[in-house]
Amino acid sequence: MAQAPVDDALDARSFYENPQDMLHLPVSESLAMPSDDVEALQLHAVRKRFAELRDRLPPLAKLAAEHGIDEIADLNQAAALLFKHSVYKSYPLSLIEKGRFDRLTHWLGNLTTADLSGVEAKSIGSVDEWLDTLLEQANVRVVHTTGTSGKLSFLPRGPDDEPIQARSTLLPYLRIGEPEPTDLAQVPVIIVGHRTMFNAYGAGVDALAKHLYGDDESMLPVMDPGRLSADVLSLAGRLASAENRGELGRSQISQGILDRLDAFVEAQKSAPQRRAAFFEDLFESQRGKRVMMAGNWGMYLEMAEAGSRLGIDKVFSPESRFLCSGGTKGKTLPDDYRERILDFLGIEDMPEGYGMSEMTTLMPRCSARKYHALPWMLVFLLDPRTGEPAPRSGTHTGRFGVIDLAIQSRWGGILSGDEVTMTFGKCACGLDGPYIEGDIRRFSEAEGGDDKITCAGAPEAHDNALAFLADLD
Amino acid sequence: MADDTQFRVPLIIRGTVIEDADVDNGGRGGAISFTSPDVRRHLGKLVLPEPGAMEDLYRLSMDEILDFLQELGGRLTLGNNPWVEQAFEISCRTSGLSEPILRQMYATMGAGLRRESLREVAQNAIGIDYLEGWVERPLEDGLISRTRAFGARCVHIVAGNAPGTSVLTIARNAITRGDAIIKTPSNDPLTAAAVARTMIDMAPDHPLTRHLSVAYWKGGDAELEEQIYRPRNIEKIVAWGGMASIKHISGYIQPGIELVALDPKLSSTIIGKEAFADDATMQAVAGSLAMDGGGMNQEACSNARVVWVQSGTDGEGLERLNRLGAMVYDAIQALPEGMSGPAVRLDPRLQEELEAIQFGSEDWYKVIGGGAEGAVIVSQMDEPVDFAPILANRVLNLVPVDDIETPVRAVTSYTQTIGIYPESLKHALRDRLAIYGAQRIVTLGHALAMPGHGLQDAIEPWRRMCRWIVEEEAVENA
Repeated sequence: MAQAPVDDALDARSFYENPQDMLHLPVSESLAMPSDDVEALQLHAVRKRFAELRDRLPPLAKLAAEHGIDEIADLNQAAALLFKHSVYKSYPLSLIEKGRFDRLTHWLGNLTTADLSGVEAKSIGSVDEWLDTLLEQANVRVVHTTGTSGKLSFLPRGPDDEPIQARSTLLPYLRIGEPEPTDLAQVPVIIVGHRTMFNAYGAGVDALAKHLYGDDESMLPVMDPGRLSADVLSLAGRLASAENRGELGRSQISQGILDRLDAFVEAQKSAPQRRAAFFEDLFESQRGKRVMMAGNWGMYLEMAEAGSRLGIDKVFSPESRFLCSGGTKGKTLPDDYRERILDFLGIEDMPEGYGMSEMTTLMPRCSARKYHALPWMLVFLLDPRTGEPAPRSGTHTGRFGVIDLAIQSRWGGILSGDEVTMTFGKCACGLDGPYIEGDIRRFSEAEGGDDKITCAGAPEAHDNALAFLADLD
Repeated sequence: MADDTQFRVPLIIRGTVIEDADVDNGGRGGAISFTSPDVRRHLGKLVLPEPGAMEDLYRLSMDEILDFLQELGGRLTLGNNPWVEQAFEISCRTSGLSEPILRQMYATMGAGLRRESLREVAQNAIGIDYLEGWVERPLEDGLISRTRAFGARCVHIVAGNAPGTSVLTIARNAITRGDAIIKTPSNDPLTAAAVARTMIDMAPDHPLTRHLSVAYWKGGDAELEEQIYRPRNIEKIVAWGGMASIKHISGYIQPGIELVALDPKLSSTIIGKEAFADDATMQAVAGSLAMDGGGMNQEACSNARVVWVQSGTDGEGLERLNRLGAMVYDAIQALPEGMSGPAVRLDPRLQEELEAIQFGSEDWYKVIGGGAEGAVIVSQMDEPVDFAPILANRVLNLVPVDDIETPVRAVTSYTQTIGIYPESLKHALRDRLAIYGAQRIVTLGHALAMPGHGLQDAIEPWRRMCRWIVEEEAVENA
């Protein structure tokens, strides 16, 4: 798995039928495919995926029927088939409080081709237990995300997609134009988080542990050996929803869950000390060694500050592989955060990628600092008001959407909440697009703070006390 | 005004109109852009640090105040008032209300200043005797107390979702003999100014004209607001709506400044099993519900959103409820265009949630309609949708219940109005609804009415805008 085989069997024709095989190509080779070839491949592949999945995923069938799409005529027509994020959280929150994980499983079954009929969900009492059960009994790994509402989205990754998970996770560490290292199994990956996480980060960590490191846990220096509980993460949303149902809802939140929140909040209080101790140990044990790490700017800054307190920098080998995604996650960081991080790590530049939990992997950044779509990512640029896709030529600003053709067990089409500027055409780096500019923002940011006042409003303020939970995901 | 022209929002300070275009505002996320004068440059005149300047208001009788307002109301019409015309025009661009609704509102905005209706509310909410002089009351210990309601220096942060809030604020200020600085929102930057300019045209030196200022500044401009919100400048802040806005303003509250908070609220409906007596009753109930939910395009806090219906939750009950849902949807479509119409701006968050439940959760929710025309979501279990707090654009959620206690326990302090059918149910539930947090309990179909009792959101804004002063006379035991 680590060696990423590129054998002759992976010819262009095979990619038409199995676009997920392209993940095994060297990144440079993927990006060098001429855009005309990519478009032809994507049109074939998206038609095939749609034909395979439509009758197995009722929400996709309904969406297609709504738009009168029976067969995809051209690439842009497929933009009508992007799922909204809300599809993956359209279950009633009260199912969790009522312990109706059987019904939640049934709902999830509509979103994946995986067979969930054998899952014994009746006796499950918490979201964490449900996630574990799906993995154990059906080999379905659910990736959850949190939104501002606090309600978790559940993205199912079925057994068919399991084999590409490790490759998906490794891809962003590989560098455009350089041969792939063959010894990454000997390079530990630093985890600034919990060992068990059912978000996209955690799915990647588990895949590396199994497929790259052969379950050698010593290759995974981890900040917190415990679990990032989905029950705790979802509590803000569950409390808000309970509030809507009044006394009735409030009485449904189990004391057990509330106790766990208390324990979690208590643990958070001592987190700064524990995090500092982790970094100190890490710098000691990995000094001068090659490491891998993926994180956001905030995580790296915390690490750099820990180093600065200890009076050390350039701890790791300069041959280490760092990766940054997710930008600053809405946090305000000091003006010189990049310099401080680069100085601490002793690197010239930080590789960055753009993507979402719903995609197989990140779009890599080129030498001209643009993020390029990989050939299995059928990307769209949509008008934020009408949802109409922009023509597939020239430069446009709007909402980002993608159908990730490498995903087999669920529909890979998803509409983002991000405003991006996308170019269909040649990039200054010499590669073909489509590519997007580095300046990406959430639509919620773009529209906020407009000083409009209305008397109709919702008790979202209740969530504020638990807002910090969203930062943990 | 041509489309590409920037609107110019004036600063009005006590009868003087300042029309400089110092600051560019708005223009983000499809919002209109407009210029306004820099309030900082006029701060000294905007606030009233010298309370003695309010004495002129006490040389006016209530009759004179009512006369003035009645005449003002007569001038606030579309057609012959350029200021109202302009405010209407800009509202057509900023408001969530459609042009026919706005036209109706602007054409009739002066009606809120009718002598009879203001006299009624002044009498009910405060008592005209208290406004006109010292009301004497002997106390059991022999003391004589005399009480009078005085006006206060207030900053009013008005909501922009309906022009009526500006007119009401100006009426409240005049009746209570206050000194008002109205801070306008970006979604209605001109209505309060239009009323003020009409007052200036009518009587530029009248004390009521001289005690009204209207300003736009970007809410949250702490540097400016710290200058204004000082106890020597103002006594009260009257703030409408906006969770972020109210939370922000509460930061300026200190000894000497009182907050009268008309918090953001949501409203709901409870319908008893009597609604299903026969088809005619169901139709009538659907018609009333359509008015509560669809009137004013569901832009108001008093609009129905979640509708609890005692239909029963078994198969038959759900079938009844689905039928009612279809009737309600049709009744919303049939509302007159001056009262309701297709959404002007769809909330994308709500649209995404609606789409998701249509494609992913049919077991739990049935959706009738959708898009700009509005929708009725019929829950197929006894719970509202998780996104109930963002219902808008004429989207109602009908929720079946077996037990009428279920909706009672869903009431919170964020619940403003509850429309109820039938009347007998209203009387049976009203005490308990109030205890749980409800603030206004009305006959189904009347949620949008604004009668002259002067109460709002469980408080008495008219009384709270006054400073209640007591004079005590000790009677000597000689």
